[in-house]
Amino acid sequence: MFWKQLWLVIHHTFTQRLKSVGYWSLVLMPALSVLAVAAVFFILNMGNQQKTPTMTIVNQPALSHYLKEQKQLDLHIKSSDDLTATKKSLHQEKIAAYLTTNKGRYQLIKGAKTEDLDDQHLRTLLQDYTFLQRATALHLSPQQVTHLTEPVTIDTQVLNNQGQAKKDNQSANYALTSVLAIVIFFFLTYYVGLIANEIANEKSSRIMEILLAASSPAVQFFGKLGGIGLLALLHASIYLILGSIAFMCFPNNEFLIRAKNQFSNLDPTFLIFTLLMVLITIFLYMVLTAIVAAMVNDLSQVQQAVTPVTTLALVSYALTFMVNGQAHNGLITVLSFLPFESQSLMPARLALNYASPLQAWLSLAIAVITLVLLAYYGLRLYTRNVLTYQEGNLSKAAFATFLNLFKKN
Amino acid sequence: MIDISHLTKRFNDKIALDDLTMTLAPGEVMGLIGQNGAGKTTTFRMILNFIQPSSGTISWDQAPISTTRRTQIGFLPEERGLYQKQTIEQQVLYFAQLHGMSKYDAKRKLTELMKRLAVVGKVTDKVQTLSKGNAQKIQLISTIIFEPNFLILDEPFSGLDPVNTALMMQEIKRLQDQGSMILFSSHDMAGVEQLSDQITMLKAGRTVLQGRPTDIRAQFGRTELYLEAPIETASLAKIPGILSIVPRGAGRQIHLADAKVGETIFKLATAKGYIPVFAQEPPTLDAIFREKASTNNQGGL
Repeated sequence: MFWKQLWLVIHHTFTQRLKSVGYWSLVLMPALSVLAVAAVFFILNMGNQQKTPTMTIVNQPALSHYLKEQKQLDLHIKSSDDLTATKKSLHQEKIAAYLTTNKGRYQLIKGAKTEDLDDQHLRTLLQDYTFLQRATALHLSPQQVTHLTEPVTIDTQVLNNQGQAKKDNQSANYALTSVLAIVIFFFLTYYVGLIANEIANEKSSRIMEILLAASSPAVQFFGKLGGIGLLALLHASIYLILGSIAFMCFPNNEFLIRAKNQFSNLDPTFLIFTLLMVLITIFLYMVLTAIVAAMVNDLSQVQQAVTPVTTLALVSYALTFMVNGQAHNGLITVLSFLPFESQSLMPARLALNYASPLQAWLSLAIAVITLVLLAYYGLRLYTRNVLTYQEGNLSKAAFATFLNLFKKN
Repeated sequence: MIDISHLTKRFNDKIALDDLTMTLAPGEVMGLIGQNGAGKTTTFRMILNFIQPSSGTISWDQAPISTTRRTQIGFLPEERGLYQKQTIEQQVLYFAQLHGMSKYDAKRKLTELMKRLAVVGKVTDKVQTLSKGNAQKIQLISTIIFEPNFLILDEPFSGLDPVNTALMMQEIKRLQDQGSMILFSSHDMAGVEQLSDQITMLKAGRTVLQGRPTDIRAQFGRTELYLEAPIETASLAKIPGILSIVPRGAGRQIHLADAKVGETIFKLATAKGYIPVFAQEPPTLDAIFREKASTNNQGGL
């Protein structure tokens, strides 16, 4: 009967939320936002393409040819040997600027309404052009020029704890941690609120009494967690599917290529550890929220109840971006072992080689043990509070509840 | 059979229920009466395992109430609650399935009950669109759809109009006829008397009355007399043993110290022949309740 009822509660929680507009708004909002931003960029680019400015190179056909050949400037390049006509064109706004040379110095004249002309790129190209001209004057061969300009190469090797060379995946791992810190915080904020509302609604509307008359508090407690957990899993799966579709549909997209390159060096063990840590932490927060939500009397107290929970998550989120360069920071080191804070701090320290794999697995073990203990004692607190309507403020109720944590009913 | 034996509940130094003992046989209805705070809801909560007794036992067929047995209990709480944004079907089916009923059977039964209780609306209507009366009927349907063997109703008639009260009583009677054990609390003494095979009255957690309503009333003797007769009130007042005379409708309600005084009144009233009404009865349950509640009462009703 327990398992049948548990499945019913999971199914009911999952399907009811799945049918709500709120859930789908949240799931699709980031995807729609990305689409909206992409659309805005596309429209702006379209507009820019129609108005690509023209720059005239006066009395320098070789330079004009060089700039056209490089194809690096977002400009139409024109060549002219008539300075007067060029000045007139600028005055009539037919061109955006013109470039002249005098004794090795360049002079760029812009029109009054001309905006940014990709000046930085232009300066670099002129530098290169001048370098080539001087090399030619010194009778250097093309091979000698190439040799002169060849960049230095640095081969980086990272040694593991046994002193053996391993793949350099530090930046990929840290990038994943940073992305996950944002994702975890986003997920936790939403799902902590969702589970709190779910329980507070049933408690304040007295539906809980009907539910507990037919089933046990354990069925309701774990059923709610299961239902909301499934919603979170579906949410993550939708993003993975949308991401895969994006990679398949836009293989040449610059942003996607960069993301792919960034994460291609990920260490599989690191990935498994981090995902396990995230999973355990999400359950930890859900259990904690269920315990806290059982103490509220009505929906107006939900925000007050979940604020401490989301603040806990916020600490880890904020500190994750400060880990780099803080190898010996005592606070970060201690917090990276503590459940509710370790979810992104320990992966970040591991990614940057500030923590050993053993320390990482130890922090995961601490999180698992905490989850088991929290679920066990949390169920007691939930059972005690879910049908109790306390007078006075929530803090007093919480304090009294935790004082009685180890007492049996 | 439900056996409650010497059930006591203390909250710190306050006694919420003190040594309650009662039995409830199949097909029997027990009315639990008492003022607010008398211990009625605490009793229900202990039976439903929401709170643990300080002492005493609750058993169903000589065994503690198991998880499986608990699914055979229908409970209607005093403060009604439904999922406002769900349809009638979604939530009634959910509650029915939690009680072990199949979805198919629940759907069929829901249609039948909605028809019998004259619920206005379709199964696909959201609860928030229902009138208060219809929402109350849905609440009742959720409680009884699985034909509970044991039904606990906390103030079932509270807030109901007379039509819905009659429908509720009809359903309780139907379940009783099918052999369900029914325990309910109410402040409506007429309803309690009409439905109950037995009543238990609690006062500050203690049992002050228990038994069949007719037996309880009989314990107090036929001390209430309603009289419609052409006789002066002053003449009646001279009869020893009359405690009070209160005008009521076309006649007078006379409260007697002893039932035998009725004979004296009858002789006097019929001395000149025919009188329209002479009705000598035991006190009503309501009067007994008021009297018991006011004895050493420190609070109001």
